[in-house]
Amino acid sequence: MAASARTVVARATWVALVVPVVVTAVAVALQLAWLGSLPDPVAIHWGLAGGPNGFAAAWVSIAITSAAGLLLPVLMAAATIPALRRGAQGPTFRFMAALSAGMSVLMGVVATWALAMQRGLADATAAPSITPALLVGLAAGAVVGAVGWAVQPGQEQVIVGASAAEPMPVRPGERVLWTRTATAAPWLMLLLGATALVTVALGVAAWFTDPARAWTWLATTVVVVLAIAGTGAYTVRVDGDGLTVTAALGLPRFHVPLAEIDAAGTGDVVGLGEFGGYGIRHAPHTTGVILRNGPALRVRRTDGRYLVVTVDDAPVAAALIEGLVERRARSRG
Amino acid sequence: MLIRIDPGSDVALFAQVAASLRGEMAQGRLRPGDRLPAAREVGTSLGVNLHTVLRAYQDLRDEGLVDMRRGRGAVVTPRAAALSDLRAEILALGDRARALGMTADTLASLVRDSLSDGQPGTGWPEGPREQV
Repeated sequence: MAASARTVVARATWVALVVPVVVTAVAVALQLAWLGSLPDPVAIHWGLAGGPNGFAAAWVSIAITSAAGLLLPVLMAAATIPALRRGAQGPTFRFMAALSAGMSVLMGVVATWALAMQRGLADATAAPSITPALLVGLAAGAVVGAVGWAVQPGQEQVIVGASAAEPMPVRPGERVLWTRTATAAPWLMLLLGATALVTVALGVAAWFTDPARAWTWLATTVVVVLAIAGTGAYTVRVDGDGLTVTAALGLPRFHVPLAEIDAAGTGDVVGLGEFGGYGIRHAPHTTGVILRNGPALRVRRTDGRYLVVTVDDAPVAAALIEGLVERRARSRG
Repeated sequence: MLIRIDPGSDVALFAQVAASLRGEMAQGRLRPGDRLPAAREVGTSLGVNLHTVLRAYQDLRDEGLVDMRRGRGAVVTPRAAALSDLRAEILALGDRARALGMTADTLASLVRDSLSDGQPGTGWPEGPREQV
């Protein structure tokens, strides 16, 4: 049953945005109030052994608290609440809002606790282990996340603009091919490109200070570049064999044979809200090649699973698939 | 981009492939700068010979609608935009011809003749047809 859109939007806004903003504001206020009693610099990073190994001025801690506490919630709210307003909803929307609240509590508790235990210290190297702060932060984040989930109404997946395609007539013996390149949204490529550049810059910087760590950054760069290659562009093809979606590199590749297609349609995708992100995504009963928000081709297999691809001109592709499926059904009597 | 061919038709397969692509250009679904899919992939999907597809691409190149460069494949040229510019007029002409009871072949031959060297067309039907 679809929950009332008004309730869904209101609760999601509270959980995804208002709670994180309040939690972060309290954390920043406490840290500001303690500025006079903190060592300079303060410890802001702890090693695996438990002792502090990174130090900076106290304002850095405050800046990190604000950024870490607000960035995810603001992005999440900006990416999902406009879609909820248009009537989209579903369990992933609900989960992402709860995640946003839980993460902000984790960040706020850990960063604030880290400064609280340094109050009155002359030298931050004497700061105790961060482990209790982490454990309490995780527990508090989990509790707030669970409450954030519970206060939102239960909701079935609702896809805005979902419509089954009218079959495009295909004559017996006729051969058809529809193909189109699905490309990633420019902002997505910018984000991935910027991430790649940051990892390269950190790798180069680490080369001069800690060569062993440079290799870690190099490996990270390779992962990011592979992500770019696997996200940049896919060729979507509909022909007598069914639907084939192939990455520019040839892999990954998704194929649904015509015989396994039950129906084709279109509908709007909200990457974060429906799939929890972008790229090759999995949601219940659904595989997605999600390169942007907006209109997408949705194909239902005979076993009930879906393949979703964000490709332009999806209505033409869906109509052609329906036409091919119909012709196949006709020829089999 | 949609290509439809019918092996049962009298029209040569390469001509059907070329006509499909021209139609996509006219409808603005293939735009200048778009790259046509690799001929080999088109051939595989449609179950026709690679050379049939290449022949279609070459025809389009000869008409100036695509540019073929080694390593880049076939790219739609700015001239393709002219096809979509004419689309409204072509649709209007088609509607008018249909209202007058003309067959597609008749209209096509008249248009073809008007573009050649002013030779009168030979495709008028024998006397006006009545639309029921």
